[in-house]
Amino acid sequence: MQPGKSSVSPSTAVVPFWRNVKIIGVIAQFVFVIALVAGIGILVNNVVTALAKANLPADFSFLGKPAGIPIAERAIPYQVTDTYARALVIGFLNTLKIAVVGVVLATVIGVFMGVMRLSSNWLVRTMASVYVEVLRNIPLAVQIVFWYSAVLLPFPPRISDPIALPGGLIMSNVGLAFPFLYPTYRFGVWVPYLIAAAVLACVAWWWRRRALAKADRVGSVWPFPVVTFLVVAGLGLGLSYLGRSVPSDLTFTFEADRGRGTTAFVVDGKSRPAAFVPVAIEIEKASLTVSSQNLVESRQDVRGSVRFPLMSEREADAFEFTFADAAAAEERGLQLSFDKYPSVATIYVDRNGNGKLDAGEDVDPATNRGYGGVDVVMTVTNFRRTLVSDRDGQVRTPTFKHIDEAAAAVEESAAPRAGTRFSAFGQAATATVSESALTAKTEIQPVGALVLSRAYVPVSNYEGGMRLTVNYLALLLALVVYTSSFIAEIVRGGILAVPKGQREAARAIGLSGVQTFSLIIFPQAMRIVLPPMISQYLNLTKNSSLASLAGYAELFVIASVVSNQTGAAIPIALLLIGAYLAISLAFSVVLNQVNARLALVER
Amino acid sequence: MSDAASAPAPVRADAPPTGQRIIEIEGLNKWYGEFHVLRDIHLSVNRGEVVVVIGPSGSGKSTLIRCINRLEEHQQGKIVVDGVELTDDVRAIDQIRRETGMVFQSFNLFPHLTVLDNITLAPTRVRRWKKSKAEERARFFLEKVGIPEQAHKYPGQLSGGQQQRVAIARSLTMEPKVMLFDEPTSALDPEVIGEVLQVMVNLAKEGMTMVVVTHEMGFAREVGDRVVFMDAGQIVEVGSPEHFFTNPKEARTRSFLSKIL
Amino acid sequence: MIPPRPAPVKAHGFRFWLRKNLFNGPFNSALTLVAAVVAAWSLYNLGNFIFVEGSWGQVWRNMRLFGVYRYPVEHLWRPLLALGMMLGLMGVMAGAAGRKSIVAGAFLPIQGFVAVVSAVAVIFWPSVRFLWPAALALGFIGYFVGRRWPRAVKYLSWGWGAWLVVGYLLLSGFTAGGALGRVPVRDWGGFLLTLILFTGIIPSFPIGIALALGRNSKLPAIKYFCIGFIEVVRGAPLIMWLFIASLLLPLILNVDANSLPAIMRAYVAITLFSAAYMAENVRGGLQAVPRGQGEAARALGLSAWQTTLLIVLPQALRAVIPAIVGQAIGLFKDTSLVFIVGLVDFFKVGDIVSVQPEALLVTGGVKLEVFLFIAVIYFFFAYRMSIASRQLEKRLGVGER
Repeated sequence: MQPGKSSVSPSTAVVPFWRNVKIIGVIAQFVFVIALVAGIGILVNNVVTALAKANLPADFSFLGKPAGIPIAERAIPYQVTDTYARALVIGFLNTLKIAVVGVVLATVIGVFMGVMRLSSNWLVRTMASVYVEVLRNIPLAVQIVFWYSAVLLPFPPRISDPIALPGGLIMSNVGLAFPFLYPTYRFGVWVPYLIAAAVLACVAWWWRRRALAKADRVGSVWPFPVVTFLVVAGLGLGLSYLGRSVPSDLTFTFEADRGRGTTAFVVDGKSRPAAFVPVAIEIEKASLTVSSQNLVESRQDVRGSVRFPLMSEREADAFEFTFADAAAAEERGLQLSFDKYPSVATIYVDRNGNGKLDAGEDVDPATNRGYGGVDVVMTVTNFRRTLVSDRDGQVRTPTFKHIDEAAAAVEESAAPRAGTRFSAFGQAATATVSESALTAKTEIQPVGALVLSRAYVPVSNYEGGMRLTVNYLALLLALVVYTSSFIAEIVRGGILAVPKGQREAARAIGLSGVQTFSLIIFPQAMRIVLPPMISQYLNLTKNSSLASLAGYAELFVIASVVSNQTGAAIPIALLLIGAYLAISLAFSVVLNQVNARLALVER
Repeated sequence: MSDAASAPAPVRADAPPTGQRIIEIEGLNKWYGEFHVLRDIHLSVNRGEVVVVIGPSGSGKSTLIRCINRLEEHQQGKIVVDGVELTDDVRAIDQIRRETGMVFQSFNLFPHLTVLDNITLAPTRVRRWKKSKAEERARFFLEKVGIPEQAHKYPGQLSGGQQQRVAIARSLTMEPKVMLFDEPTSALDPEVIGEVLQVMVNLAKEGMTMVVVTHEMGFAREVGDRVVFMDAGQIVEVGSPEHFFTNPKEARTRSFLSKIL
Repeated sequence: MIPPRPAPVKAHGFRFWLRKNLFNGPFNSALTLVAAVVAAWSLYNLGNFIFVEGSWGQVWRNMRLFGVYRYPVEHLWRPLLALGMMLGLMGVMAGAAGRKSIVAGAFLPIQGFVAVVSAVAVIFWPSVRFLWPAALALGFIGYFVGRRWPRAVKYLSWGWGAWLVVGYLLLSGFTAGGALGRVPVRDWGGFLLTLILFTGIIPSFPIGIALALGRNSKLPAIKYFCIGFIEVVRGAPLIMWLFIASLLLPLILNVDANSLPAIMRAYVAITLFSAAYMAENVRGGLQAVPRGQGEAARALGLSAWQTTLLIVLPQALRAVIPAIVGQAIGLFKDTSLVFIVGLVDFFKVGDIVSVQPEALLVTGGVKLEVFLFIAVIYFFFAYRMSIASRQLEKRLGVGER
C-alpha cells in the first residue's frame, strides 16, 4: 500500500508471458495454426501418395477431353464428342434452369398457401395446414421418387396418345411441350433496337425522377422507363418483320420418307445448321401403317388401340382409314371407333349392331383380350404442316410412305384371297408402299426476329416448341411443392409478426379488410419474410442436386458421372465445392442487398 | 487532448491522505477507436469510503468503473486495486475481480439458475468453498437484503427491485473488498428504487468501500463521502456532497445539477 | 357502483360454428364449396387407392427388409436390444420430465408406434415375437425409473454416450461366431440404418458447439478457420459431401478403401455436415445471450471457460432448442440421401422392393404403394418431432422473461 503517492509512469512490473492475456491469445493461435497446417499437410500428403499409387488424375487437364456422355437436356448445343468442361457447363445451366423456375413457382404457391393458412375459413385453413405439414415432413428424396417413378412415369398417357390441349400444350409420360418463341437468324436486326430501348428507358427513368424532384411531387417512376422500353423494343420487333425475305444461302433438305429434314446455311459448299427456321411441308398423297396394341395405361387396360402420330383434322384435306388386310378384317367384323380423330382409334366388333363401340365390344372372345396386332393404314391427301427447325436445324415429320397406286392395284389382284392364313398378318399390303421415294413440296418461310415454334409428335417424341422432360417436371414438381411448404410457413409467420396495432390502425382510418391486408399487412410481412425466403431459395437450388433420383442431368449428376469416368475425384470435388460456393455467395450477396435496402427503408 | 500546452491541468480526485488507499487510478486514458472516452483520470479511494460518480450520460462514468475490474481495457495509466496493479497479467485480473463486486444497471442475474444457485455459483467455483458454506453465506446475505424467502425462485419470477437486491447479495457473498455500482437503480420502477437504495445505504453504513455511479442525489447526500462530477471523459469537479448541493464551483456542474435536481 | 353482471350468452353449437367458420359471406361460402370439392375429390382418390386399388402385399411381405435389410434373423435380438436401450434412455428423460412434459409427449407416441409393431410381431412374425414386446417393455421401465428417480437425468449424457458404444458393439458383433458374431456392415440397412445415421446428430453436438464458440472467438486464426469450415460445409448440399466423403475419405486417411465401410464415410459426412448447421444454430443462441451475462460472470471472478460453460452456453442452448429440433428433423429426412454412397437405408429399400419379380407381376407396378408407405413412416416421426419443436418454442417463448 502506498498512501497518497502518485505517479503516471506506466507499469514497469514484468508479467511472465504465460500469464499475459495478450500473449496467451497469440500463442494459442500459433499452436492452432501449426496444428492445422500439420494436419492438413498430413492429409494432403496422404492424398497425393494415394493418387500417385492409383495413378488417378489430380489436375484439371481432363476437362479438355471428349466426354462421351449423352445429355438429353441442354440449353446450349452439345454433342457426345464435346469436352468434359462443356458437359459440366451444361449441368450448371440445367441447375440454373430448374432453380430459377422452381424459385418462382415455389414462391407463388408458398405465398398462396401461407395466406390460406390464415384464412378465416376453417376448411381452407385446414387444407392448407395439411398441405404444409405433410409435405415438409417427408424427405425430398422420397417425394422426388414418388412423383417421378410412382406418378409421372406410369400414370399420364403415353406419348403415343398424349393429351393435347388447345393452345398447343401437349402432355404425356415423356413430358410436357408447348409453343415457345425463339430467336431466329434475323435476331441481330432487333438488337440495336433493344439496346436503344434500354438506353432510352434509363433516360426516361432519370428524366422522370428529375421532373418529380423539380416539381417537389410524389409520383410513380417505374411506368415511364417500362413503357418506353416496351414501345421501342416492340417497334423494333415489328420492323424486323418488314422487308423480310429468305436469304439465298439458307437451304432446306428434306427426306420425305424418313420424315427428316435439315435447315442450313451453305456457304462455299460448307454447311452450317440454321436454328429456328420455319419451313412449310406439303405432301400430296401418302400412307402410314400402324399395328393395334393391347396395353396397360394408368393401371387400366387399353384394348386394341390404334395410334397414329398426333395430327389435327385441319392438317390434311382428307384422312382415309383401311385395314391393311381388308378381307380378313371384314371377315372378323373389325371396325374402328375413333377416340381422337384422326390419331387414336379402338378396334372393335359391333356385336349389337348399333354402329358404335359399347362396353365389351373391344374384347376378342377367342383370346379374352383386345384386338391387338391388326395393321391399320391411314391415307392422307394434301398433308401440310409448317414446322420450325430446332436448335440443331433438325425437322421431323411423321414417316409417311409413298403410295404407288399402279403397283398397289397389281399387288391387290395378285394378293392371296381373303381368309388364307397369310393375309391375317397383313404383309401383302405393306410390301407395296415402300419401294419408291416419297416426295414433298417444301418452302422456307421468311421470319422476323422471333419465331413461334409449335410442338408436334412426329414419331415417338416431341419436336419443336419448348419441351420439358418428365424428369425435369418430376424434379421441379417435387422441389416446388417441398419448398413451397416451407415458404408457406415463413409467410404465415411473417404475417403474424406484423404488430396487431397495424391492423387496428388501418381499420381505424377506414380501410376495408382486403385493403388492410393488401396495403398494410402484406407489404410489411414481405419485409420480414424476405431474408428467410432467400435462404429457402438457396436450399431449393442446393436440393436440385437430388436430380439423379429423377434422371435429370444437373451439375452434380454430370459431375459424378465425370468423376466415375475419369477417376478425377479431387478436381471434381474442388469444382463442385467451388460451384456451390459461388451459388451460395451469389445468394448471400442478394440477401445482403435486400437486408441493406430494408434497413434503409425502415430508418 | 489535442493541445497539451493550453490544456488545463486535470482535476485530481484524491482521497484524504489520512486513510488507507484501496483504489488508486493515475493518469487513466481510454479510447474507443478514435473517440477519447476517458481523459487523464486521477482518482483514489480509501478503505470504507463511499465515492459517488455523477455526470450526464456519455460522460464516461460507467466506463471508468468498468475499467476498475477490467470489463473494459484501458490504454494508458495505472490502476491499482488493493495493492495489485491491473496489467495484462491473468493472475492480477483474476485477483482484482475476486476482490471487487459489481452491480449492474440491468441486474444481469443468470436466468437459468435459481436465486440460490446464482449466489453460490461464484463462491463454490472461484473461492472453492464447500456447497454448505456457500449456501449458508448466501442465505445470510439474502436475509440482509430482505428477501430470504425467494431463494428457490428463478430470477424471471422476481420483481426488478428484488432482482437487483439478489444481485447485490450475489456480489456480497464473494466478500469483496470494494463494491462497484453501475447505475443500480436506473432500470427500476420508481416505487421499488427505495428498497434497493435502502440496502445500499445500510451497506455504506457498515463500512463497505463503494464506488457508485448514480443519479440518486438523495443517496449521495446521505452516505456519500465524496462526489465526483464527470463530463466529456474528464473529472470536472470533486467535493463533499454539501459542497455540490450548496455551492458548486464549475458552470458545467451547476448546469447539470439544475437539470436533475 | 354498478354491480358486475354475467356476460351475454355466447352463441355456440354446430350451426353457429358452421356459420362462423365456413359460410360468413358469399365469398367465403363459394370458397368453402370449391375447397370442399377439392378435399372430397382428394380424399376419395386417396381412400380408393388405399382400400380398393392398391395392392399392399409387396409392402407387407418385405417388412423385414424395410426394418433391418439383410441383418441376419438369428441376430435380430441385437438391433432390438439397442432399440430397447434407446427407448429406455428416452423413457428416463420422459419420466423425469413428468407426464405432461414435452419430452413425454414425444416419447409416448413413439412407444405407441412400437406397441403397434409389437402387436403385429406377436401375431405375424414368429422370429421377433418376444423381442419387440421386450423393447417396448424396456422403454416403459426407463419411463418408470425416470419417474421414480428423476435425478437419474444427471447421468443421461453418459448414458447416451455409452449407448452409442454399446449399441455399435451389439450391432457389429465382436466374436468370430456365436451369439455376438460379427455382422458385416453392408448387411445393415433399412430403418435400422436410418436410425443409426440419425444418431450422427449426437457427436455433431460437441463439434458444433466448438465451432460456434470458435466463430465467436477473438482470436482471428481460430475465428476464420471456423467461419471457413462452417460456410464451406453449409454452402454445398449434403448429397455432394456424401459423394465426396465416399470418394476421398479413404484417400485422405490413407487407408484401404475396403477397410472403411460406406456407412462410416456416410456417418462422418453426416456428422460434420450436421455440426456446421449446429454451429450456426448455437451461434444464434450465443448472440441471444445478453452481453451483461458474461460481464456479470467475469465480474464475479469466474474464468473465461467457466463463464462460457456455466453461464453463456446453457442459456444459448436453451434458446435454440426449437431450432435444434428443427435441424434434427432435417437430418432425419436427409439420411435418405445415403443411397448416393450405395447404402440401403429405409428409403432405398423401397427401390429394391418395387423391382422384385413379384412386384413386376402387379399391373402398373407397386411403386405408388411402396413409396406411400415410406412417406407415411417418415412423416410419422418427422411430424411428431415438429410438434415437439413447436411446443418447445411456445413454452420457452412464454415461460422465460
